[in-house]
Amino acid sequence: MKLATRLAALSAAVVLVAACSNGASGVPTQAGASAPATQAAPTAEASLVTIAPPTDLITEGTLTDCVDIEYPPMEFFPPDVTDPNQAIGFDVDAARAVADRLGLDLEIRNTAFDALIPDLQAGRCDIVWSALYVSETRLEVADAVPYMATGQVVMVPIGNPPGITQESDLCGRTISIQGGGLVQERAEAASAACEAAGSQPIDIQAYETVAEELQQIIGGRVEAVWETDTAVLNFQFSHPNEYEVAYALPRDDNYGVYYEKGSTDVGDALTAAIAALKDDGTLATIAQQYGMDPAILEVVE
Amino acid sequence: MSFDVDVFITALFSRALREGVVLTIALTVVSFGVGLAIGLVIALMRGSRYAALRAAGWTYIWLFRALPTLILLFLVWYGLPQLVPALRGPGFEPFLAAAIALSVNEGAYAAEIIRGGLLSIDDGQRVAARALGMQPASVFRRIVFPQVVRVITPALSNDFITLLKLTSLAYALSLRELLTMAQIQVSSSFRFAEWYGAAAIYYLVLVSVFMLIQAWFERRYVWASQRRGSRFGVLRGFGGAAR
Repeated sequence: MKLATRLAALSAAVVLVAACSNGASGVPTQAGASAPATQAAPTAEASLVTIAPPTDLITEGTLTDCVDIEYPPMEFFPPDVTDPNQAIGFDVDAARAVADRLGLDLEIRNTAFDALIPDLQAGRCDIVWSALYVSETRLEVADAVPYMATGQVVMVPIGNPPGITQESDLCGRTISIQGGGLVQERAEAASAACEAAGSQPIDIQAYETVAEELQQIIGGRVEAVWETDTAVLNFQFSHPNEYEVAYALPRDDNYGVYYEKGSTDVGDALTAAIAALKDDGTLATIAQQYGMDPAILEVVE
Repeated sequence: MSFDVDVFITALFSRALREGVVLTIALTVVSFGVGLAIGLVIALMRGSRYAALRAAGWTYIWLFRALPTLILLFLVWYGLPQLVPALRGPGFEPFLAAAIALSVNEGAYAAEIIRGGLLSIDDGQRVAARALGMQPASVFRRIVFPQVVRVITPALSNDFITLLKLTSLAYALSLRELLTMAQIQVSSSFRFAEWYGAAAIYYLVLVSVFMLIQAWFERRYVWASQRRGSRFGVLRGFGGAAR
């Protein structure tokens, strides 16, 4: 049975190594031990009111935040970093500020986009702060606190070869979107409107991630991309002078922080913390850090 | 966009892919090991004297070959904590859930491979061994099993390599294995060819190393003498028993 023993030892060794390699598996690391941004509340600021933290948390003293860390400038990794607790971006920095204000540690779980709301429902997250739109379908299963106004744009190659200036110009065109969200609902509605008006439907190609969706226009496989303004802004930043915005939809969608449906404990604390951070300018500072206009924070109540 | 060699080299030695590959290897080895153990048990159940055991074995194989791996992953990740309250805390990690799902899945396939191997051993050998006074456990351990190992190694190696690539499905459970890590880097850099190319190199290396291990293993477990380059055409060098 020498072989079996060897195999057992090898498996044990590999599992041990895997368990020791931090952060790559979405495993919650020791609460408080490796979250560099959540030091104790700012020193000697007597005017800083700490809001009472919610009591109904998964891990006492820790705010567990599920994020899909693949969406610059809202949440992303700096180069050569893989530990979710060291991610950066507006959503992540704002969550840290909220946790500080509530006197909690922040634990970030890197979660696949499609698993964000299901994991919230399964009780793996206290909050989901990952640039998710506040939409009817999501509100049926969770509650949300809006924090930022956003809208979508349709992006085309520079010079606007397909000549798109409004939604009806998309009829008969091929576009790419990120699947499974608000954009998909709207794009399909637009396509239905095309057909009702007697035109060709829109050829909608849905992709799992924003990067894949944007790659299609680089390769010329699609004529336009329908995506959130923040993602497009970021993309244009890394591809200067190659793309332009054909038209923008009205900016009347909101990003929201989701929490478990009916959990007023968490909801109230969250609302209070975000409002406080907006009032004292923290959120505006963070927004400007990532090249965003603080005016979009006006949705915070 | 042209291929940027510097980005490719950076990707090849990046921490992201190094951490990802450790998880991929760990998940594959654990799932395969447990799956093999399950498979052996199920295969023996299917050859049992008792009808109840045979039926149970058959049911296991039927169920876990029918369920697509992705659905099984979701069932374990979301469904299991609902059935087993002990699993509801933060300790039930994606790695554990993926390992359970993939082991159970692999067990069904390994069971059929092992059963095929067991069938390939002529029953006469068992009868002869028993006639010589060997206990059933000894018959299995010293006569049957060594021969079965040789027969099932190629098919099981196939399964191992398939499992290695199947681990990328654990992306749905937010496990940050090799392919997912490459995807994350692509999402902020938009350099598809370089990052996925680097990930492909990792998979190539892993499979090559494994194939070397497999070759070594097969050489060690040759029981009958071989005639290489026999004059029997297509069987030349395939390790057929000398006849």
